[in-house]
Amino acid sequence: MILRILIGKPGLDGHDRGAKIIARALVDAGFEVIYTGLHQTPEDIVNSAVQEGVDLIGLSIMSGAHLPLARKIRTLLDSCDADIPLIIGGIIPEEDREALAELGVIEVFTPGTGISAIVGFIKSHFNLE
Amino acid sequence: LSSVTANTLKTALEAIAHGDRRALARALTTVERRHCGTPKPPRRPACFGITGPPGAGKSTLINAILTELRKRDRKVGVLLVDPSHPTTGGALLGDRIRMNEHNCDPAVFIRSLGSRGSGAGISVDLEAMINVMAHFPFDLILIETVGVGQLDTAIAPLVDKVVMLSPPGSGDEIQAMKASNLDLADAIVINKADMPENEVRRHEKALEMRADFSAAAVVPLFKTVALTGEGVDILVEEFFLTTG
Repeated sequence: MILRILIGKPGLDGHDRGAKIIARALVDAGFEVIYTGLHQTPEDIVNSAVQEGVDLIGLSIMSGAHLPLARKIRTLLDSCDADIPLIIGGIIPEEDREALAELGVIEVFTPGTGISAIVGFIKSHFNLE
Repeated sequence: LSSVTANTLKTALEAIAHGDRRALARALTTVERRHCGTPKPPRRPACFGITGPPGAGKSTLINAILTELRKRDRKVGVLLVDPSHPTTGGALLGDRIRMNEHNCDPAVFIRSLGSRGSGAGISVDLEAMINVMAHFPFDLILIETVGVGQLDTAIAPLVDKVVMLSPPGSGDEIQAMKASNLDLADAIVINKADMPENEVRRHEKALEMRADFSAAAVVPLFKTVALTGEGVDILVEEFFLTTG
């Protein structure tokens, strides 16, 4: 099975180098990555994820708005009966991890995380290899 | 293919025929994962293959075509094929990003595919996935190939019409006269027609000379600037809505 992952950047922050590096690294790891890029609304992300039939949504967030964005995305996913897990990469305070976990964010990757840790986490979560 | 999957697919196709988008998304996943053949519907929407070299503007043109078709209230399904990594099997599916403005339109459905081992500009599961899409009450289905070369013609038998993008700077009349995938095009689009006028005119002339030397090679020629939408209304009115 080839895992399908959406990588997108919700909100107005325009720093997409990290998201692009992750997207390409996931391709090199054998995943199909739907790269939706900058300035995505939660509605954009959920509609794209559902149409694309992805197994996982990866969000890059450095704006500080991770909690309301994740909450909105989870609500929209629930409303279309799509139980898709989220991962978030970016500047996320430790104390927000628990609240994010309750919104279906299965892991948070903060600055300094190696690519192999991210790939390893995804593979083990989906029991690949 | 297990009978369970076959039954699931049959139920799904009925839901899809009634316009169930979630069922459509799920059935596409099933077909791609299990490589199941899918029956053709009795009637299918007009299917257009959009093909051309990498970077010609295929995705951007589809975005502009979607805008024009939506102004005319057409429901559109879109399949976008991008190349899979030759060894890892991964793929960067980066066509959809050009059409983000249609993400939330309930009359547009867009799905991206990796080529998954097909070397001919399409995906190994494309035919089955077109058949799934064809059950949905779309007015048109647009299929974008991988960025292709002269010998990549696999899209042609799967669709009703092939639209070939041929941007300025892609060769003189000898290049255009070569037997190639141009010979399977039902329309040729010179995209990026806002490049320097001499470049555009030179390329247009090459394609016109190709047609001059072979009656079989006469197909309609359109000029577009996909980024601004210039010329796309004419392409849609005179080609997409008059053929199929």
